[in-house]
Amino acid sequence: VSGTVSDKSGPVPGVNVLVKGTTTGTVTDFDGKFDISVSKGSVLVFSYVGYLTQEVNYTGQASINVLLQEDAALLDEVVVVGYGSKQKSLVTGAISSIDSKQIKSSSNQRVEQVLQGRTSGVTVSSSSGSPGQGAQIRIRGAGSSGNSDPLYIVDGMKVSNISTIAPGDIANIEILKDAASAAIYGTEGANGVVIITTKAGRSSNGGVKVGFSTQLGTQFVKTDMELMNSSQFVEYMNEAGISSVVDNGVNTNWLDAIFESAPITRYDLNISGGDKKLSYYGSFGSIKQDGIVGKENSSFKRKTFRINLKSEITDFIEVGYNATYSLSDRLGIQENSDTRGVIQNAIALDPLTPVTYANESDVPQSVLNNQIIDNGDGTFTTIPLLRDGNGNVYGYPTYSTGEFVNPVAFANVMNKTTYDENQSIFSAYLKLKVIEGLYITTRYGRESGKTDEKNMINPYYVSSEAANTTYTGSQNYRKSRRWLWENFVNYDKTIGKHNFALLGGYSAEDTDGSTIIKRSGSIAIEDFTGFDFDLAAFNQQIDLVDPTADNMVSLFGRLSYDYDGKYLFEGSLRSDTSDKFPSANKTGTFPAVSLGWVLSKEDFWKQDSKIDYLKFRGSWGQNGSKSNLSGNSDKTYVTSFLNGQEIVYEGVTGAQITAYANPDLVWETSEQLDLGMDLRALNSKLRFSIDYYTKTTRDAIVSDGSLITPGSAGFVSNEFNSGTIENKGFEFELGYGDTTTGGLSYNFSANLSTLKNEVKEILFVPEGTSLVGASAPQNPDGVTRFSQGLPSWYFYGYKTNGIDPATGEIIKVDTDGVSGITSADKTMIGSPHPDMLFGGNIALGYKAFDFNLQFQGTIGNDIMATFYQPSRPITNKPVHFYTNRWQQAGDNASFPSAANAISAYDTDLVVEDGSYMRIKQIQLGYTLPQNLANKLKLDNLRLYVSLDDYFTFTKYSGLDPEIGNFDFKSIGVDRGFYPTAAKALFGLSVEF
Amino acid sequence: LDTYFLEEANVETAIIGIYDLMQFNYTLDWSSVFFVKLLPGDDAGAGGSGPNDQSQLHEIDDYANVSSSNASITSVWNLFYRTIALSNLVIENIKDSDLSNKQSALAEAKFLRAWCYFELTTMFGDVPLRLTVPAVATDFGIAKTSRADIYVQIESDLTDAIDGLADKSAITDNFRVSKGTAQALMGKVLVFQGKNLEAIPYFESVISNPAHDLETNPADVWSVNHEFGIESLFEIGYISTSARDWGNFAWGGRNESNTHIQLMGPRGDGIFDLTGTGFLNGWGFNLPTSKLVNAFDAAGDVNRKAATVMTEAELIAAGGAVDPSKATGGVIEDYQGAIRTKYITKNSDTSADGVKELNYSTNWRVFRYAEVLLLAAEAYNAEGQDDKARIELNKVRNRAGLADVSDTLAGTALFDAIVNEKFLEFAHEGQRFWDLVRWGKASTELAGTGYTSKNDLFPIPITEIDKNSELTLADQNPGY
Repeated sequence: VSGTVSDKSGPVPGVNVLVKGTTTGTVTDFDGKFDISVSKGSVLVFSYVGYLTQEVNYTGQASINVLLQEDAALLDEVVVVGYGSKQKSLVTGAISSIDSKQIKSSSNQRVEQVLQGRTSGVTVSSSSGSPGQGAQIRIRGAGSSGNSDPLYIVDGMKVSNISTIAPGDIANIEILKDAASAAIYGTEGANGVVIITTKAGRSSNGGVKVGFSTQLGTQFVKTDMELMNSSQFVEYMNEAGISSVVDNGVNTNWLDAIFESAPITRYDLNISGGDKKLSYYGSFGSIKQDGIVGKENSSFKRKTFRINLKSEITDFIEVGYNATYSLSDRLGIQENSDTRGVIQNAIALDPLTPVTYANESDVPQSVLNNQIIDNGDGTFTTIPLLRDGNGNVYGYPTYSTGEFVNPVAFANVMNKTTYDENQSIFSAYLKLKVIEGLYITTRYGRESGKTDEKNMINPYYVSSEAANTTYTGSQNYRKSRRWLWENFVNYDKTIGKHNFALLGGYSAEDTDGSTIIKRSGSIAIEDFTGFDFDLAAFNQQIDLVDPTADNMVSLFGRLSYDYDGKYLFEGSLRSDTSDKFPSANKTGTFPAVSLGWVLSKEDFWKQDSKIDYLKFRGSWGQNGSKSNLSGNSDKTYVTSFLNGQEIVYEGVTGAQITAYANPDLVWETSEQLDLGMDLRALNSKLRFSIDYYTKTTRDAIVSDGSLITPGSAGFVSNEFNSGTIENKGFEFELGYGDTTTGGLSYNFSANLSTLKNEVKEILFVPEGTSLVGASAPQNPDGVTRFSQGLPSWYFYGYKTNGIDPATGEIIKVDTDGVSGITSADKTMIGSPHPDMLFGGNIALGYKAFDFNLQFQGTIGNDIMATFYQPSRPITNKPVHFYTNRWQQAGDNASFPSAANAISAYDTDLVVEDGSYMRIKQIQLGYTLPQNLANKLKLDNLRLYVSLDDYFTFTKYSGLDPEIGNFDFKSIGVDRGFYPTAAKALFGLSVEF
Repeated sequence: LDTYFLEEANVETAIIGIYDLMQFNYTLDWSSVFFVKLLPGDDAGAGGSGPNDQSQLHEIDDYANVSSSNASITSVWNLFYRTIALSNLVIENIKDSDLSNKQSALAEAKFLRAWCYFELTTMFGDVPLRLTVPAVATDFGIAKTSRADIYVQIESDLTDAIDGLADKSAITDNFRVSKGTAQALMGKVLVFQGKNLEAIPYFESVISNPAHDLETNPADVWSVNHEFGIESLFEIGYISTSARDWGNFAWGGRNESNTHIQLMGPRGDGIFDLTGTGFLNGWGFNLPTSKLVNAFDAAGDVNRKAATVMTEAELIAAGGAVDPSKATGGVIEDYQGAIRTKYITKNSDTSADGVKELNYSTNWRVFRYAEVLLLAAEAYNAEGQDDKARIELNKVRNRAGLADVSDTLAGTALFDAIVNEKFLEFAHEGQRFWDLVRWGKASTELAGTGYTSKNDLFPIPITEIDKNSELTLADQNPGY
């Protein structure tokens, strides 16, 4: 008999068709067709991963056409966990999954973006909106005062970052949130684990399957930030007593001037196929993205190559090989600086400066004079004027003094910073089946990368504090390498209704890095012929080896048990021995246990209950973290090199110590309790999960020893254990999906997480004092701090209580009880941590059309702006400084008089509510109907248009509320954040 | 560390490291000890582009809102203690060794430690006295020691230094301190305690040593051509050949060039036109007061004045110009009609090519023979030996081109002449304010400037009080 197997979108190739009770079988071909010899009365079984298995009685029909139903319950979906996989229904921990369908519909260019807003408990904040800049992923909050990045596992291999993975290559992502799930990764699981599995070749008759997708689009800034215009600025400056500022007819909106639309293109090609003996998946991806500031000067290009191979050589030997190679080139503008950043300059530069002078003759004589440098020996050097691509001279600041330069010139011509990076990761494994249920796996992986950073500065003379009178360049070329060798045994055994799964293993790893070349120098203007770093002018150092060892050996084991899928238990233990710890404390042991009860499997559960599945689960575990350690912290080193430069005095080499040993350092331990419930109801159309967790990080390691070392100690301490941090919260995930009889499919999902972060204890520093965090021009004693009883790295400054109606001065709140306002009155004026994170997705499908809307946001976090310059009075500011200012006696204003503006910079007047909701994606797709596609010899063709990051709802008056940061001490500190670009995209994908 | 100090050569390298930290502390970007120490004096104003340009420096200059979080004061504190810590490390690791250079290395490290504690106690009063290397974090906390006991330790260290250091004539590396340096410092420390009689023998040893003398010409005292010269007792060296540029310049880090020269050059941006002077523009800090200029004129001092300040009229006569309209708000910050020429941005003191702003090689003369003469004069005067006092005072006056004081000048009148001589001779060298404080003259000389007696000491940095478990806010200096 023959027939066709299809699902609601068309024929399905590769479906297993088996005559029940026999070994006779076949698989469907590309068109979903099958042909099999079968006798009357037999039963045909149709099975395919992700679909409900169907059985059809053969009663002599001419043909059998089967419509496969997707397995809506997904209860038997397999979840990848550390060193194995597990049926989702048996999972006792808190694990969120993102499957390839969600990834497929996403128009994101980066994996981190794919994660954003998809599941509860996961915060993704880009460190910058600049193309190619990574993002910080936080699972259940920042568990450490330092690096809180999760552990990334790709195809079993531990990798340092996931930014080089093309989203199109990903089959699924699992996020292990609770300690028990992550505990099998021991010392590196404290901040959660992200496990990525890339696509494998499909064993489908040996045929070749090709997929191609492309995306073209444009990016632009969408912001409501408003600065003073020139007439407001002149009035404001005059009121501040700076009468020299007069209206010169120029009115530059610097935000309009620096932002421009920029293109983005992406191509992905993959080929897969194979059979049981060998399956293969290969892909090539390319992305090119220009920046919305400085265009090509803040661009990102990446090419990725991947090959995944798998072979079952015999019934008992399986081998696999996964390799990826990526090449990326990134150019970056100066950002995240509160004195010398492009965006910060755009916010603060006076609007009376033109972007470019209309005519050469408009260039002020004083600017021309400044370009001539008197060498003092009768000769003169002339510095070329800054010009745009058309030869027009860029405007030099009319009034702003100091470090300020024209941000358009800054972004485009003054300097150029390039980061070229290549990374290769491979892992190979051999899996032996010893007896039924017993497997031995050995896996070796290697990650290596090179980063070449070059910085080139052209000559310019804007002011005495913003000048470069030569061509200046530097290069830093580094490499890093890590290998990981893991050997483990899995044994699965069922005795009656008792199911056991055992895991035991051993692993070893080694990481090192070194600087291949480091050089810097400058060339006089008259001698310059181009940036050639091989010239003698660039002082060169080679082969600088990082002195610290980073090896680790581990033993781990896990027992999973369930009785009839009803009562679930899992326990695991891992012991890590790392070189990074002092001799006395090298080994850490991390236990975990979890329990589950599937109530809906009990006999007393009514079969007709609307609730199909109900599970309660609880877990407890301990994890460690070594990511904040540089190693060798129990040693004091004498060195003749500091920051790559030799210590030398009057031509003689000197030496000093770098820091004091800390022999008492212990492992940072994160302990987490998780209670959860999973529920599915209404024929699994409704899905609901709830989790409550408390995560306590003890002995949190801080690498910056200066935080606890008083100046009188002379040098600082090595890393130290700083105290206890607690994160706790609830997580909810809710979904509802169905297909109406009219053919409309819909799926709504939403997630919500609450988060409370608190520093419970600080060691070493006396009670009542704080660790000082990020500094900013307005507050050298730290705009962020870390204190007992408060959220980690909260904002620090003066609380205000309005504006004195008589004087226009800010009324600062006296908090220390000692009369008078002193720096001791500074206190917490905001927290960067949101009370709540949320995200959601609406997916609709009707006939050939699909629609997807995804949103994400935060509630209750604050943002502190530090792009203000107290030392430079003639600077622009957000317009609310003008509109809300005090003008005359009796005014009840919310902002001080112009004369008192500077005193606002270290108060809560520059702290705002950073809550926002952003529609990450609105996408409309069209899939060519199968019959049309077939005529084009295609399996599938889909077109879509998408608006990404287009709509944002926030009260924040800065450029972008989605403030990430490069530095853990500066979360929520807006130094002039490179905003996330809105994107309008068109995409096409075909498979044949 | 465990094996480092087993070799003589490594000990020498560590000693150089101490000198290097001194160099770091005396030129660190905006927080050089050299500058911070002279700011409260009535010889100089902070300057810069305006009152908010490095406001922490203006606060010290104006005695206004000097706070325990003043970044420059904090830096001075931290870096003196870092220099002390490295000295402690050397001393602790070699004191029981039998290395051949043990004696000289111990002497050098103890001199440098004594120097740092003397500077610290002068500026901060009672301070923590740390003489060992902390082994564990709980050792970081340390209580304050009284100034009197700090002096006891300084004298003890200097006694050892005098024993162990070589005479200036026998020193090969010219930047190193000599026995004479230690004797001179011992004398100074004793004078600061009012122990004038005890101080005199130390000064006499220095003065009678032919390796020490005054430069002939006042301008040569601060010139790059006379570095580590005959007048020099302790000098912090800088070089113009380290090829600093705007890309590789280590902000807040270790530069071998003297950044503070650039910081203290007459401000550019069209404000000071220095044509005809051989000077380059800088960032406008450290301007002379009119009080200083007037004092030169009142003394009839011409040569030394020319080596110290240049009036606006003199600048214009040379071919330059001053345009206040180019300054923020039309006012040149702290400008009182003259620029400073001592330690100015001389084109000839920086690199011939490359970035001139960042490669000044000018050395700081932090301790020189002229100071010994005036300290000796002060001590003799205090002990009633006015004839001897006049001899030493006149040496300094004669070098400046001034005549001897009257043979009958004695007692308080002679003391006042010494005070005025030191004002002129050590203008912009960071001595003035601390002398006024110890002489009890600050309240009269600084009347009307905002000075109050609380300014006699800097505040202990709040970061120290926060992190030092043995200190509380009650340990803060009075008034802060």
